[in-house]
Amino acid sequence: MSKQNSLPNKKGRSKVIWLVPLSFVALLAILYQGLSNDPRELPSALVGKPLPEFALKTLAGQEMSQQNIVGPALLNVWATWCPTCREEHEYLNTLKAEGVVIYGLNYKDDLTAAKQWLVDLGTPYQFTLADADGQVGIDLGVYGAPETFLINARGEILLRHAGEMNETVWSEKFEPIYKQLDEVET
Amino acid sequence: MSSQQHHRHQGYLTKFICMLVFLAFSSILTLSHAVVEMHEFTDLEMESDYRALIAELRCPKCQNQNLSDSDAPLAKDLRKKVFDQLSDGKNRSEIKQYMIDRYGDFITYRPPLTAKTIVLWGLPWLIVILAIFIIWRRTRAMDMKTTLSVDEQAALTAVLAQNDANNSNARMADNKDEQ
Repeated sequence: MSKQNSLPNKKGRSKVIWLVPLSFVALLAILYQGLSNDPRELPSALVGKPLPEFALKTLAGQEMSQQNIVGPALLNVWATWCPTCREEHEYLNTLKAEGVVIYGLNYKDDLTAAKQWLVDLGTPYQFTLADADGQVGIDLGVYGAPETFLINARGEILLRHAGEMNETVWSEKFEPIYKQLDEVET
Repeated sequence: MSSQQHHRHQGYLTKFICMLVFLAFSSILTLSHAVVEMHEFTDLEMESDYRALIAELRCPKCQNQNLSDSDAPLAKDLRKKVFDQLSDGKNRSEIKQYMIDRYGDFITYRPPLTAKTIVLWGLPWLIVILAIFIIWRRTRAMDMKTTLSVDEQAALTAVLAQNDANNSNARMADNKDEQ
């Protein structure tokens, strides 16, 4: 009996032994891949959910709610105190020129400075909501500026990007989904 | 006491006082780092809830600081949010859920049990259990090997006897060669 048992046992064990370095290498690969992750990139809790309800005034003083944001569109969170917002502004102007609808959310900012900014750099936004105390920002899960959300026609958040919006981000992250939305709409 | 000795003593005293002054100042500096905000708590329970929440909730802007430690403007806003909601009579788990709904599980230092966290927390135990199992199997297999069956014992004795015979033959052959 022991002879019959020991033979397949030995073979099985030698296979199992190989699993040890193999799983070790796999673990290393996973950990190594983790090194290139950006720790500032947070998973977004709001993707797939509707825009939070709000009642805010625009920089021009009009009362707006979440229903005034009509997708497919971008919602861009910005502020004059944020240097990256200045860097991405030119690209937002480009997107607007290409026909992308963009709404602005001016986050915890000085309203006079914000208005002046739009005069100086151009207005890519349909309108700009003034979230002076950052409450809507909290409801959107905003943790810094700039942030850009992709909203569909039903007012749901499809995508959230924290950081600069530029050609790479647009063409790799946003455009594939945005194009599908456009096709459904037309 | 000679005047020299007296002088030395004075030196030690000055050093000691200097050190005390330095320590006092450094503790003041550390204190000034702590976040100071004035809140009117209605009762002790509300205050302890507030302290527990801002200790457990992580500042989303900062990489690894809780709300109570962070000076970030967002952390200040969120502390206010926590306080306002406690004032509105919300309980701790409601406020925690409010934050998770907006900022994801990242915001809490005690994330809930999900598929991902089960893998994270369970895998080490699984590996340990697996290792113990493998070690147990191998030691058992080794124990089994040391005891031979009657047939095997007989075969072994035969082989050894054969070996001895061969050896003695070979030795005799060697002896012959030498001669």
